[in-house]
Amino acid sequence: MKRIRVTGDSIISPLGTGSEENFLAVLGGKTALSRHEGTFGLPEPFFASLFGEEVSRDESLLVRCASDAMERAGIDPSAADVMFFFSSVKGDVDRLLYEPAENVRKHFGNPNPAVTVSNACTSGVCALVQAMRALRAGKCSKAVVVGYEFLSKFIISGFQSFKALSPEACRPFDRDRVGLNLGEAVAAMVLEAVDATTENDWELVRGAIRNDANHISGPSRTGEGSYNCLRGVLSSGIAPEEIAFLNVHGTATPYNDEMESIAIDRAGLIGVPVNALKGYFGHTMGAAGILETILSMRAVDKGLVLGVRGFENLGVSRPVNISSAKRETGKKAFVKLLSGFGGINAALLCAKGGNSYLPEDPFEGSLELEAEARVDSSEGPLGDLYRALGDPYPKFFKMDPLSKLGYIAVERLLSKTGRSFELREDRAVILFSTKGCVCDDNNYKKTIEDSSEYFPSPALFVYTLPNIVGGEISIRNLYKGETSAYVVPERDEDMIMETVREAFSDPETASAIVGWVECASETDFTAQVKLIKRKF
Amino acid sequence: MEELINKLKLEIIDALNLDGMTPEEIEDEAPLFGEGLGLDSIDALELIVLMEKNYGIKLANPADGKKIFSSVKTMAEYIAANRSK
Repeated sequence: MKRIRVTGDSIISPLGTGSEENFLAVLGGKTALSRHEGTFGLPEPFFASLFGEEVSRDESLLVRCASDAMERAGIDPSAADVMFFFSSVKGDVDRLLYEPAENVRKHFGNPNPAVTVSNACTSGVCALVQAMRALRAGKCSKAVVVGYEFLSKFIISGFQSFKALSPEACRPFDRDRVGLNLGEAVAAMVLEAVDATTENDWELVRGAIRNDANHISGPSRTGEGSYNCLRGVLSSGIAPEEIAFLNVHGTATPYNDEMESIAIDRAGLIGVPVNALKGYFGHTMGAAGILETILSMRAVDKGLVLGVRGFENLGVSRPVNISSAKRETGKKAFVKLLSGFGGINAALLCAKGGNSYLPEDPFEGSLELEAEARVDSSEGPLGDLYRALGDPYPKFFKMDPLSKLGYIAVERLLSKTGRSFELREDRAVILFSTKGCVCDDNNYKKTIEDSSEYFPSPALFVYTLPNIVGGEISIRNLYKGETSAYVVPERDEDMIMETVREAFSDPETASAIVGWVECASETDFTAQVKLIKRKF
Repeated sequence: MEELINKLKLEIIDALNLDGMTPEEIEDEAPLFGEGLGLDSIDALELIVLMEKNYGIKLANPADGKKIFSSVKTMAEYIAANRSK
């Protein structure tokens, strides 16, 4: 059984360069959150954590951050046993999402395909989980995981249209919290598969990704997916008393923090200290899972539970164990928890080495193909293909073209297998594309480009996230298993099937809808989806 | 008011992609959310955009929408009283 050891890490954020500088800034109670007016040509002011003007928001920053982490780990990025994994929600909104990742991989002369995991705000943890699986499966022996997010008029106007932003520094879990602040950052971790770890090492033990199957933007009122994720990592055998803290999402929106308090309570973890770091960095989206994991490792090494900046009075329904001041701990493990648009949730258990917690076994069984379906733009427009299904689902017309395409493909697939609309926690939805949401990006941009016709549309914005199509499929079919969206430079069936096999290492996953879903425009699309089952 | 209500129904159908629905099918006083049209939180945000775009009404606090959007009639009344275009 391979264990996953962390051998290097780095953070570049508006608070500092390098993990140490960022950690010291947080210890000193610093924040990079401030008010911005006129930035990015936005007509309305906003409160966020932004890089200074001297910083270029591009691959050079990803290269710098990854280089720092790899130097600490002492690895050669061009080696064939090294793989790169990236996480970002929107990448660079003027290019395809795989491009920055591909350029960084090429810069380092790495020969392996680089995937970008785009699972909304859980992307960072999901990329770590993906890397852990690849390492355990023996696909690589070292992995470099880079999470990043750069802010833009696109992203900020979208969150403004959602009325989700706080006009002042955010207040996680506080009764006066009114919303989140966005932040920019790049964070990287280097992982290695080893036979054993020692107590000086950090180990990524176990992760879980689950969908709420409830709503594409609102968190589940019962904390469904986050609860299921916590249950997933607790199956490692760790006891609540052994957990130093839960480093939760804590975006400071009224619904998110309440949802997390319910999930924590349901999982039997209400006594465990909780903290959140959004008051220092804002919500750094694709970087958050990695940045917050790195700082949590440092905190445990110093025997600390970091304080929650912005928190004063408990404002959730469950008695969460939370404090604005840092606290001492002698425990050697923590859980990172995240959730995001598309109903997605993710959790990761990290512990000092030499522990006896059970990691996921790599999947060594066999899989069988139960059915397959295709959709292609040569058959006609999406609306006609939907009507031909003969099963009204009014929400179809609210979807973006990519979600419509995924919806039609899965409807066709399930019509071949017979279907029941019973809740399923054991079915995953794993989708790949090269173009991500390019079609939706262009539609949303039209609502913000012209200053005299500036009316950012929340419905268009939410669909610019590549994982929403998986969320729509989960809502339609009540699938509460893993949902994952990957953006890759080219269609490579072998790579897709390897990734799917690795997903079956999650013991809860009994079957998966796996698909190539590519939508360039309303009239140029193709999809191929398969229902794949674990063979017993 | 009658005229505004009918215009508003068309605008709602268009903005919220209520495919195949006609203005006649939306009752003036039926609830827009939950029962009735079954709209959700994203639709509520889109209605805020609609009011700003078509009538120049800026709604700073989305919580105010709850009352305003309880039916097409209440929405029309609010627009008539607050519109700037």
